[in-house]
Amino acid sequence: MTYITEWIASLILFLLLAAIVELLLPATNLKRYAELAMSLILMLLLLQPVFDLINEPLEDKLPVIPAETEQLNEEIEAKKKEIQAGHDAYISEQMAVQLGQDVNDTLQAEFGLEVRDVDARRFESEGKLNVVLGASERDGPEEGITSVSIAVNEAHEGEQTEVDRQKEEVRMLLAEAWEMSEADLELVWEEEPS
Amino acid sequence: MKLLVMLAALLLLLGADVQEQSPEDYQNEQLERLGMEEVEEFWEEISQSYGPFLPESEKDDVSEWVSEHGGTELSDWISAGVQFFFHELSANIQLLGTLILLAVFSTLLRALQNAFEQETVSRVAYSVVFIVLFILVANSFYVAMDYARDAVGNMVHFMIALLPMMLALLATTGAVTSAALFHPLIIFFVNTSGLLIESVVLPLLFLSALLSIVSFLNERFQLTKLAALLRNTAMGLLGLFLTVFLGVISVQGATAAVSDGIAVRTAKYIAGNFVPIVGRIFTDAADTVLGASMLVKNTVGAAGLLILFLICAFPAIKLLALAAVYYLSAAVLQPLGGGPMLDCLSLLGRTVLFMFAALSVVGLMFFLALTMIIASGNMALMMR
Repeated sequence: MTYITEWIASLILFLLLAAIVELLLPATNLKRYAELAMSLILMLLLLQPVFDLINEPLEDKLPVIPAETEQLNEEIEAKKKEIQAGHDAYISEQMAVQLGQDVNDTLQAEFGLEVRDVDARRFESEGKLNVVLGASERDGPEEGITSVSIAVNEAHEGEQTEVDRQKEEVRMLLAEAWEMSEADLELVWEEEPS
Repeated sequence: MKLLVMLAALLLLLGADVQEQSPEDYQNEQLERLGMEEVEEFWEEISQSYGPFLPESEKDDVSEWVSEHGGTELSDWISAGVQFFFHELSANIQLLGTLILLAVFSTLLRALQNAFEQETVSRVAYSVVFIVLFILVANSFYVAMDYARDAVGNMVHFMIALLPMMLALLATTGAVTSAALFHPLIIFFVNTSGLLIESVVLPLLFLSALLSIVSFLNERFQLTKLAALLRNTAMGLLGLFLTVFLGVISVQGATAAVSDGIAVRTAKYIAGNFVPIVGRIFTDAADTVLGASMLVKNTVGAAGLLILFLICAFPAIKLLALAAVYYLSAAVLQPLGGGPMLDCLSLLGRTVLFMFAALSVVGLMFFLALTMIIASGNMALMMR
């Protein structure tokens, strides 16, 4: 575009000069020839781009369209991740509330537990559900509360298997209540079942 | 929006049952989290430069304005536009006065021509007057072109700022195909159209106008044909680009949206049937999210459309006012007798109108692209 601008600018300059020269020239017979010469020069000026085109290849002069797509791609990706994370958090939260409603009463009565959190991020693709369980904050069964503080490493062999058995029971209970296969439930324990 | 947030807070305080969170609540949450800084920036710029003319400009928040959409009536907008037009007209009245003065001067010189023995003397004087006019007009003309260029550049920047958000929202509402398809296409067109108009069409129009004016200066050497060629090239480029843009955008938008709708529906079907209870709850929650995202997308899109319109409208009105001044002075000067001065003025008016056309075409294209993005997402959701 700068090329065209320069070319047009030279044309305009020539026209202005020609106007002045025409005023300066005395009206004699020779004026006609002077004007003819100027016309020829003007024509050469007009043909300038054609000559340039013949002499030099065009490729160097074509403007390049700037490609900003790379940076934009990243921006879109970042925004998308942000939105997606918000969606996942919202879905998990809603599911934790609704799923917990179904089973919390039984869980609390039998094990003193409740559903703390549900992670549904892998649900759509693999059908798996991460469930975080913790001790119920409501008043549990009378004998349950005190024994929660048992640390695992201090526990004896027998208690260990007892805990495992309870875990299995919770898993079965959840799977039955939610009509899922047990393998698809991944339980995370904030506190061991008592 | 504020009202809704307050309502939600009130519900929480009262300990009401909040587990069934409505899409609107989540929408507000998402809007706040997304942050519309990029959009707000342009909004502030607009309200700074054209504040007094905007109806209800005391609202300093775009989303607030958009969510209370019924608040601003069409008549307010029209009166704002008319007000701005007359403001610009009065700002340009000085130019009109100078033009009239010059024209009267040159006509007087013509009348005095008989007093001189030689014709050349008056011709020299006439040329001098014409060159003064030329410089004056070229200056105001260049300013007009700058307005148009700035407006186009602003629109492109705005689109580039808004597009990532819109396309990301489009992708998360399930319209993956549309987003993937729109993305390279729209970005290419937005970039190219800005470049084309800014650095090819508008300069070509400017150069063509200059050539025509200079050609009025003497009868012997004229380049009016070259000027016509340049002008026709500019307008042809504009028309061609608009046609291609409209065709591609409309066809792609429709087909992509349909395939998206089918994809979303099958996903919902699978999740809802194979895992009965959890699947149902999951689908419900996902549905709420989709609906809320769509609402957010529509809100952001509406705000974007409004700002795009404002970015385009005010410079366009400015150009219209300038064209009106040129045409008005041509009309006023006619009684003094015809001649090159008159032709020159009406030609300038016409060229400014061409610039106005170029500006509005860009505005129209971006407007359509945004509408297409908004609508195609809604279409995909409707196909489920």
